Amino acid sequence: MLRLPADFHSTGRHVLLWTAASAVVAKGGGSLSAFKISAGLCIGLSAWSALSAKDIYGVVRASAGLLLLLIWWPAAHLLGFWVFVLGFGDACAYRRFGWHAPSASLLLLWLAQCTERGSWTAVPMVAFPTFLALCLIFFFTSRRATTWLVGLCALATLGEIPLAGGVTQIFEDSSVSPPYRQGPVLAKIVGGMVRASGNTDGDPLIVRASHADEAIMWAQRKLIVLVEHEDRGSPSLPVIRGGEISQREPWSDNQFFGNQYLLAAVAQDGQWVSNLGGRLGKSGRLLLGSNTHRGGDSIEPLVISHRDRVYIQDSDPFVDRLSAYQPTAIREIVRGVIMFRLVNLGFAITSLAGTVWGTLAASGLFVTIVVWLALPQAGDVRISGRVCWPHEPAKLSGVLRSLVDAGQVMVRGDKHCRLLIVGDGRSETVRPGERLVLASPDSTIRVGRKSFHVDDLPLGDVDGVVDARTVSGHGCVTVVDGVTIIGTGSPSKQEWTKWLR
Amino acid sequence: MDKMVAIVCGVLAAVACVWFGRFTETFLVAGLLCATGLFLHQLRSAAFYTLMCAVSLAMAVSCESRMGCLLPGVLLWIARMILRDGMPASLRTLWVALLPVSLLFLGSENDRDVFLIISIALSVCIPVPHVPSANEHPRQKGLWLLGCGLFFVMSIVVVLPGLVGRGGKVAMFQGGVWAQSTKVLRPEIPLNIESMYSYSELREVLQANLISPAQLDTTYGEAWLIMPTKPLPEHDKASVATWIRGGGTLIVLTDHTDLFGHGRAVNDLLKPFGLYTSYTAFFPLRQGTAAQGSPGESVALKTSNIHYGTFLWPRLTARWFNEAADYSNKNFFGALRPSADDDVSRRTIAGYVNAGRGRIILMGDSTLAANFALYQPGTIPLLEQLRHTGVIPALLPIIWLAALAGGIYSLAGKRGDMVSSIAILGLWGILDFGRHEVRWPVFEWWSGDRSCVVEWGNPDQRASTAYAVAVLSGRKPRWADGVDDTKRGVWISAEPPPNARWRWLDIRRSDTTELPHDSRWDPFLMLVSAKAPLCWRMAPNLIHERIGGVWTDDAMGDWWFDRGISKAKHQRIDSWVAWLNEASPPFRVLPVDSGSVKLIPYALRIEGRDVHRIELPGLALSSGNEVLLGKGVSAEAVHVDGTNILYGNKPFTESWNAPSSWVLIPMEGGARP
Repeated sequence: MLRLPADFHSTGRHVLLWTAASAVVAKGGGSLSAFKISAGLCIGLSAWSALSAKDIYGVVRASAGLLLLLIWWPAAHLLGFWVFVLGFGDACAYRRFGWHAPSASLLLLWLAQCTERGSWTAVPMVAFPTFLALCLIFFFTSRRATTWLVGLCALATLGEIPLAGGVTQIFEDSSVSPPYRQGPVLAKIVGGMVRASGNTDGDPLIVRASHADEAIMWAQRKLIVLVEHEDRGSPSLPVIRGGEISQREPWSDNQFFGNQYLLAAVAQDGQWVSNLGGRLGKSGRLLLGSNTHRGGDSIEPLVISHRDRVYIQDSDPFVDRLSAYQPTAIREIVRGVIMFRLVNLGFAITSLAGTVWGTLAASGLFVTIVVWLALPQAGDVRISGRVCWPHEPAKLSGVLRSLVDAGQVMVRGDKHCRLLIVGDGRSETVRPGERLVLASPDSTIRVGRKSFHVDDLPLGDVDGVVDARTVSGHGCVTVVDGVTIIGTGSPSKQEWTKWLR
Repeated sequence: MDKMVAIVCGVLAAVACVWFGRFTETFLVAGLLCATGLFLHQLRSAAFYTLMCAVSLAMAVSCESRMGCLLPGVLLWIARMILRDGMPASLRTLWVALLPVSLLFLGSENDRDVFLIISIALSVCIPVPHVPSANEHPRQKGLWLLGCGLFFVMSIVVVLPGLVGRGGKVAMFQGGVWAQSTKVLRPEIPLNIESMYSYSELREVLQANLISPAQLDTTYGEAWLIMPTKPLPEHDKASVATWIRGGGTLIVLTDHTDLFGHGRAVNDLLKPFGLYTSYTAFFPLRQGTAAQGSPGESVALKTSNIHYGTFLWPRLTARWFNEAADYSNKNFFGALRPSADDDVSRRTIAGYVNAGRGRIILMGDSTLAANFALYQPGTIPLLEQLRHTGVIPALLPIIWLAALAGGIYSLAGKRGDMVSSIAILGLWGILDFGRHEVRWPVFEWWSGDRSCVVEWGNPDQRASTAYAVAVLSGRKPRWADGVDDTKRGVWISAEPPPNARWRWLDIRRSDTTELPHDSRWDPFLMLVSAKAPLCWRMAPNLIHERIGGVWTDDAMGDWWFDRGISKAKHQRIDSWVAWLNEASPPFRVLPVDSGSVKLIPYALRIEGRDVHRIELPGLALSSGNEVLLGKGVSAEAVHVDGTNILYGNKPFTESWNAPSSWVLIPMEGGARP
């Protein structure tokens, strides 16, 4: 019979878990397959730990972490969070019940941050073996010291904001066509103001690289510099290297490395919205990098922090046309997303407190985060369905882009919206204020007590509706109680100027 | 010894399951679980059954079943909280893990296939406690065996009627105006898109009769329905259904994005049989990536769609991007770019299902069977394999279920593990039996580098159009692998490879020069033609011919001949056919129209581009005249509103990637574009 160590359930499981988590944090060394296998192992072993927990507190913590993880599945980097949940759960159990349980999980996250500050070759090739070696060292020495170190590391990350002080102004380049400007849509997302050239009040500014020299001339100020593929470096912008890089498709499959908060933000957005961008030099501090971009070396910096400036390798995520698809990453770069920092704060509390009360405090934080995520956000257009690729020409995902192309200044939200877009096969109830509904095939729309179903028989262009569908058998446009319902298979191709009068 | 047997069986079963992972990842999940169970049941440890649960979760994640992967994990946790007792709990936990996995597959849109039955069978049967000896719990074991036996017998009852095949004639239905088989490829008939996109060659190799569904009778054993753009009338549907259930084989070829509404017509016909064809485009990340057929085979497709169905046995699958149709776009294509909006998973492109005593075979890429593609490498072998008949193919589901039953039986402590492993391997081995070959008319063997006769890659490194029109020589091109494919070219012979009478088509550049033309047309020609100069070979070598720039795609253009091709292109094709017939190619040089001495302003409108204003020689033309202007560009004079304008399109240009259409409008005399 195959013999395993008697304490395989604890020792072996944790070693396997660290190994898998290390690989996850190191983004699988750039290999998507390795990353997915590691992620699967993390989930499986974590679930096993949850099932094996012998006290209710351990189960609750582990389960809460598992559920949060599953909600945040796209935020792959936060698997480290789940690893931590196991870690602090074990640490508390150790203090309280005397378990021989290691707890160096969050060390992985902190070490990842450290290697990001180091030389470029450290990311990600050296990260994985470094994590493994250090974790094993800590595991076999002082476990209590490990938990304290973990907590301090978590505290140390709280102040990491790409551009301290936030950004309040956006430089609007009138030489660029409106959808490709940093304009009112971007201003809505960041909560800032759009300013024309000539502003000299010195507040932090979002500006294109081609105009950054002008901005520098006005005043010494903090900048977020957007680089284009035609931009070249200059003495005042030494980080820009010149040349161009492009992402592999599909964008959603590309893996990144860098600052944990920005990684979580990009993962929450689902992708890095960039097609063809400029190239940055390997200096400063890497906030976001990739090894799946074509046209350059194996590792390409995408977001760099250098002195008082943050450089973005492409302006696409920040143009009005596409910024609605990258809201979380934009907010993280501009002023930091507090929710992500609350997670680490929870880590720190439970690690440093090391008691059941600390655990409960952290659990309260986690619940707060979940509630926060579920809160409706104000916006202009409510979209029922997954919004993925911004260049989708006809279906749901392209709606936000097509609205901006039509001159509409709209962002996505859950409440106070005036436009509702319903995806294929979905069922939605029209909320107060929503006056125009675009319903996709096989969807059901409820207005008050009335229900309308959209069929899936293509009718072509009918009554000004592109790719029309019949709404409850009464034509492709139905008006009920002041709400206009349009049945269409191509919501992104509608003439918005006609319907949004 | 027992342990070694278990280990070997487990490894063999795992290897077999990896092979079968070609068909579907659900198969892989179920297969690996079964293999792991076979391997580990000897160990009798609850922990490792729990490990299997984790494995099942990891496999669900690796299948990229998105939100579906959440469910097993959550349910697993709940199950563990509820079930808190030793060994039986581990097995029950496994069951609880597998049951959500089954629900996961059940939750997939229209994806109720035979592998769901497998998952449910595992889920139902495994909760029986592990029986260490035959003397313990005999009643439970008896009930369990009874259940398995009933399940097995039911499966035989379902598939047995399909064992009796039906021979006889082959029918082909006319299902609308798109997929017609009346336009043929003959030298005397002008080439156009109707003859290139016809299915006349398929009808010829099948020796099929063009009939209506009402004319189906027992003398027909096989019927083909290709992309019907008109729904079948109710009486025709009833005729077809009766004929199938009586033993006939219906082969339905579909295509991407519900093109011209054919998908709805097909679903209307197949709904009673539990089959569904998708309204999507199914494409790989990289063009030219092959789909997987039975073990060891791969097939490069154009752009296909996929199929679902209860008991649909997959014969051709791929793990590609499934993109929804955009009915507002040409050909209903969407962006045709991989993105997160597309579903990525292993799907069935071609499959079959037994219906009554007959069979329905679905294939998701009808373009493969069109005249321009039918003879490309792999197409006819694929069709032959799809239209298999006889006893063996009908037994495939039975053999798989027997393997499953053996695996389950082995968990009860008997030695079914070896039986099941052997059965799985046997299943693998016989999948290739039962190929129903077509009857080749007069043909010629082609062999060598496949990339030279397909549509992928650089146009100056391939001759796919020349290969497509090789039928005009009177001999069908029949591809055979085996000859040295490292040299850039293909070998042609009437005898099977290899033999000393091979003629070699060398893809390298021909060392000839461009035909002379009036250089005053150059500003215009550069805008509407390829950059590479064309070549003509004045002294052909009938044994070894360098065809680069002469008969490669950069000179022949693509096979979409629209309403017709230019005289110059026709002459180029004639010369190619003459070479195939071992005759000296008639390299006649057509006169190039140079026009008057005086230059006049023209407005050049190219589709999709801005208007250009250029000065060119004036031409004295009457409507309907075709003129050759140089660099392989021909034009047709068209009389519009009192003005003779020149019109050209891609089939009138002997190059690759020429504009779809352009118009030259003279601006002299106040005429404005």
